[in-house]
Amino acid sequence: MFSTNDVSRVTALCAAATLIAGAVPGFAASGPNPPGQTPSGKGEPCVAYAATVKGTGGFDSIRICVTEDGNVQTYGIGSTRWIQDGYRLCYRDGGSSIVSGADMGPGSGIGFGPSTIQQPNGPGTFPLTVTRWTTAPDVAFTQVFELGVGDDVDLHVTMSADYFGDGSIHDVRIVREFDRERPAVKKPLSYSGWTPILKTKEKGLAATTEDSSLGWTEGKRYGLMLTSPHAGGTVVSLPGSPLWETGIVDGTAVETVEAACGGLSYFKYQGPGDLHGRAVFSLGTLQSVGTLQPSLVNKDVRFQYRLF
Amino acid sequence: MKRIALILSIIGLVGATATVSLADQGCLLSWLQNGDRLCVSEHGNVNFLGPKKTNLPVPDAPNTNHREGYALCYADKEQAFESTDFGDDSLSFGFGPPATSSEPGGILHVARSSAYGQLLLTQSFYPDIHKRQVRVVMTVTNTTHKTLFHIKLFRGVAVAERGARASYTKRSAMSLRPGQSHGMMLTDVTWPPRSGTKTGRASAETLGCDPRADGRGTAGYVKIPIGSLSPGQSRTVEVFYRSF
Repeated sequence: MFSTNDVSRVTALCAAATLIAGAVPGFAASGPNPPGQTPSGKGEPCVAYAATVKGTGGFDSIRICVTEDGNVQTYGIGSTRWIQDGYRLCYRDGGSSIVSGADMGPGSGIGFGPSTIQQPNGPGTFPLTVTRWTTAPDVAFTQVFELGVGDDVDLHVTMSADYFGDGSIHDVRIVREFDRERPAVKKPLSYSGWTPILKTKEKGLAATTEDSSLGWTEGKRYGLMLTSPHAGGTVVSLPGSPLWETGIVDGTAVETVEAACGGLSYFKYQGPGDLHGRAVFSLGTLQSVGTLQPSLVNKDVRFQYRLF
Repeated sequence: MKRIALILSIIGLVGATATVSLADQGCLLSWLQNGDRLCVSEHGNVNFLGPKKTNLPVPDAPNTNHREGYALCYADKEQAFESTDFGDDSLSFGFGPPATSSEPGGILHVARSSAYGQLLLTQSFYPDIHKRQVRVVMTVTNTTHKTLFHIKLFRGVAVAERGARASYTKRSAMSLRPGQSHGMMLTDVTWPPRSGTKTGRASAETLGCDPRADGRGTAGYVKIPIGSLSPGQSRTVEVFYRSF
């Protein structure tokens, strides 16, 4: 985290960003304290914050906030920008899938140590690198958050896990999840191929493909997507089988994800219509960093949050 | 021979792993990498985009159940004119023959005049392999000596298969079939800002500047009101096709 001594620096950064905003499309403002959102307000403080120029990519101003622990707290527009985003790291020991670390937002973290953050462009800005360690096993889990360039208003995230213990650990998986609450809804529908998440006049819908989880309201506003368009490269450098899911959070975790990465479900059931998407990235076996050739050390997964 | 040379040169520019098979399917702009494919025809139809196993909008073999295309229309006080091309002779009329050219980086330009000789439509395709998308920049130019009114541009995909679904948000129209691994999205229309994407019950036969309802299929599309163009004046619109 940055100290109060950084306030003047942050102010200068924000002023500079505002000046830049008039010249180029894309993200206009960057800093730790977004307008109307303070550490005492909703959610946790943002260690990296950005807002787009209105009209960039055809959108109204998009706000992005990432917390110190690497949770995406806002990504979107207006009241729909609030999301709950989190991650888990799992491995298999014998026949059991064990959650090595998990953090689904405020007050939910287990297994991970404190975060170390890096911001080469200064406090409050992107790119943001968040590194957290788990002690059982000894894994460094790193997340890098980057903004798109120009009209690309996606939030790009790269996650990697490096094992520093003895030997190797097996069936390592990273889960990324998000939850966006919906307005008051009635009972959900079942629908082949597309999974409607709510039945209202607005026709809320959700769907899943091999590399995307998405939800939207037909004809309205903007949809939210967790996606990785890198075909065959969702898990970089290694074979993997990402599993994408979108569904209704009803308090019961989805069976396939249960099997994939522990038995935790942090997202609370807010009522039919909660949009819930998640991706499970399989890293396979992680060998100790000390025993690997440098080219094989990092096992990265890349994805992005996208509005559509 | 010139045509073959052009095709081969484009394949070479776009991706080292591209194969002639895509060109055999009438793709002037094509890539095949990491299982992803893109095919844009000589007429400027996006014949397919996405993983090989994806059947949207067109699979390996010609499939009349999926059609991507465009339409350009205008009207004067007496008559309305429409030119369309949805990738098949039976679904295309009103456009002149295409003039194509390419640039390094796999960029393809397709220029066509309406058969009525009033408007010129230039389409430029900019593929992005890593984002699995193609940017389509469409420029409409008034080639006459008089102002033309009520000009409209249309672009979209029709899917006519059991269970096919299309949906849309303010800025994106999507097509997906149950059981398919990926979907197809028409998104990010840059001008005019209020050009909204839309979906509806429609087939390639009924798509155009004013799509007509047709229970045989579903379509995702965008209708872009170009408005009036004075002599020589142009307007440019940009959209993306994106696989997800």
